[in-house]
Amino acid sequence: MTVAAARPLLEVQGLVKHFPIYEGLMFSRRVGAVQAVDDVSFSIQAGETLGLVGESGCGKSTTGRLILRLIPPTAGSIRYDGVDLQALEPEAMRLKRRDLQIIFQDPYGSLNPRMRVEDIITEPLVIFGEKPGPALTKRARDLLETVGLASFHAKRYPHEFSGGQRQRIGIARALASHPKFIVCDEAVSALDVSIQAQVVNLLQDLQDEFKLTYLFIAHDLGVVKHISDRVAVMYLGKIVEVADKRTLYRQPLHPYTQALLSAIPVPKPRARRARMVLKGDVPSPINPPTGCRFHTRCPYAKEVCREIEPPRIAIATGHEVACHLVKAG
Amino acid sequence: MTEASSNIGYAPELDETPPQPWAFWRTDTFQRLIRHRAFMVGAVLFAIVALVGALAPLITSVDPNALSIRNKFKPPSWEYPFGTDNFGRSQLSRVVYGARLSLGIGLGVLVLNAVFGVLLGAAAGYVRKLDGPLMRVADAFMAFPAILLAIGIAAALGPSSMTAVIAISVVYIPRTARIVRASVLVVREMEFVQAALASGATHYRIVRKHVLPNCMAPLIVQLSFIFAYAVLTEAVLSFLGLGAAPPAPTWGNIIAEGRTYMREAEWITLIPGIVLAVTVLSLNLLGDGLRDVLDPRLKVQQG
Repeated sequence: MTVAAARPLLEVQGLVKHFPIYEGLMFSRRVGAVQAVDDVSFSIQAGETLGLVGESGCGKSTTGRLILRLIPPTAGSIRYDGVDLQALEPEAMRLKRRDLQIIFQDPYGSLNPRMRVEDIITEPLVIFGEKPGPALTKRARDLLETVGLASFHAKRYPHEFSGGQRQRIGIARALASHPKFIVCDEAVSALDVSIQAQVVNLLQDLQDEFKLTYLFIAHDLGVVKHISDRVAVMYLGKIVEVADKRTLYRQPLHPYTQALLSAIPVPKPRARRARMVLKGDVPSPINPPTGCRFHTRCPYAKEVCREIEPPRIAIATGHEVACHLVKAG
Repeated sequence: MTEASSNIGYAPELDETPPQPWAFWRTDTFQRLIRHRAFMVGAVLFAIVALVGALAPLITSVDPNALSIRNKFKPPSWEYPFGTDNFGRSQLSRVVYGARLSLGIGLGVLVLNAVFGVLLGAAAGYVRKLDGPLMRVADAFMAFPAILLAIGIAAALGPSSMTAVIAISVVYIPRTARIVRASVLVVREMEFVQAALASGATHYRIVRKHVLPNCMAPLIVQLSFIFAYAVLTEAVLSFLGLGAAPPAPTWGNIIAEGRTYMREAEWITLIPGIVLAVTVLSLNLLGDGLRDVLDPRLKVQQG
C-alpha cells in the first residue's frame, strides 16, 4: 500500500481525553483526572483497516468513541475526509454521522430490546428522513441477508437471537446508511471463537464489497493480525508502536509489543519459546508514571526511561516506536 | 441473486416458522401474570369494583342523593341491601356511585402522575443540569408526610374533587419522577443509546424511542400503588371535609357522615370502609404481581 498516495480518510492529531474526578457533594472540587487517552495520533487510509490493541483500560474504546464524537475530547483534532469533526456544529455533526458508524462489543446491550429487528437496522435511515414503507422493509431484508441472516428474521425481537446473530444485526445496522468508516469496538470479543471467525470473515467480505475503512479495536492479537493492514499498540492512553501488520508481528520493537506478542497462545503443545511475562499491574491512569509510562513494568528500563518521555520516532517507513532503547536507522 | 442478497458465509438455522403477530396474551409477561395468584385475585377484585363504578346506573336505579326521612337508619334488608343512612338514602346507591367518584379521582391522579412524573423524571435523568435542581425540589416535597401535604394543599385550594386530584397528584408526582429518573439514569448509559446517538438520532428521539420504553416496568408498578394511595388519600381528604363537597357520595364522605351514628347504625360506616379496604388491597395485590413479573431485579421463584 502506498502511504503517501492520498490524503488519509481519517487523521487523528494529539487526541486527549481526561475524565475529571470530583470530590464532595455540594461544593464539589476537581481532585484529579483519569488520563484515559493522552496525546494519541494516527491516520487511516481509505479502504484500510487499522487494528488498535492494548490491555483493558488502556483507552482503546475511549479513542473509538472520541472519533465518533460520542464523548467530547479534552484536546486534539479529528479530521475525517479533510473536515475537522470537532469544529462542526452539533447539527452538521449529526448529518455527518451517516458516514461514520460503530459496531459495539456487547451484542446484548447494543440492541434496544423493545424494538423489532427491522426497526433497529433501519433506524439510521429513518433518522435521515426515509419514510417507513415497502422500500424500507425491503432494505431491512436485504441488509439481513447481507450479514447472513434470513429476511424472515425482520419481524422478531432481539431476545430471540443468539449472541452471534445479534452481532450480525448490529453490523447490519452499522451498514444501513452506507457509511465509509466503521469503528469496530471489540466487535468480536464477546463471541465464541467459532462465531468470531465467522464475524471477522463477514467484516472482511463487507469491506471488500462496500469499500469500507475500519478502525478495529480489540485485545485479541490473533484476530487483529487476521483483519488488519496496520496495527497500533496502546499502553495507558498512549500509542507505543505503529507498524504495518507484517512488520509488527515479525519484528516488534517496543518491549510492550514484544510482551503482548509473546502472550499469544500457540497451538503446539510442545513448542518451546521464550515467554516474556510482565510483572505487576497496569499503573493507574489517574496518576500515570513519569517518563515512559511503561518503565514500571519494562524489563529493560533505564534511568532515562524514568525521567524523559520517549517521543514516537519513525524507525522505517510506516514503523513508529516510542522507546528510548530503539534508535532510528 | 442481487448484490445485496449475496448471502455471505453463514447459513442461519432455518426455522421458517413465520413469527406470529405480536399479541399481548401471547407474551411471556402475560402468561406469567395470569399464573401469579396474588395478581389474579387483585385483578379480579379490582375489576369488580371498577365495573360496579362504571355501570353504577345499571346496578341501582335509586338516586344516591334521594332523601327518604321515613326510611332512615334501616339496617341491611332486601329492599336496602346496604341499609340506609340518617337521611334515609340508599347506602347501596351511595357506595356504588362512590366507587365511581373514588376511582375517577384515583384515575385522574394516575394520569397526572404518569404525564408529569415521566416528563420531570426524564428531564432530571437525561439532562444533567436539571437533575440537581429538580431532585432538590422533589426532596423538599417528599420531606412532608404525604397526608399532611395533601391536607395542606387541599385546604389552601378549597374543597372540591378537582382539588383532591391536584393535591394528591402534587404529593405523589415527586415520587414517580424519582423512579422514572432512576430508570432513565440506567438506560441512558446502555450501548443501544450510544448506537442511536452514533446513527444521528436527536435527543428527543433517543428519549422517546430508546430510553422511555425501557423505563416502563418500574413506572407501571409504581402507578398501580399510586392508584391505591390516591383512593385512600381521597377518602381521608373527604372524611376531613377537604374532598368533594358533602352531599357527593364519596367513600370518605359516607364514612364521615356515618361516624356520628356508629353505635346505632354501624353499617353506614362499616360497609364503605370494607369496600375501601378491599379496593386498596386489590390494587396492592395487583401492584405486587406486576412488580414480580415486570421488575426482574425483584423476581421471586414461583413453585
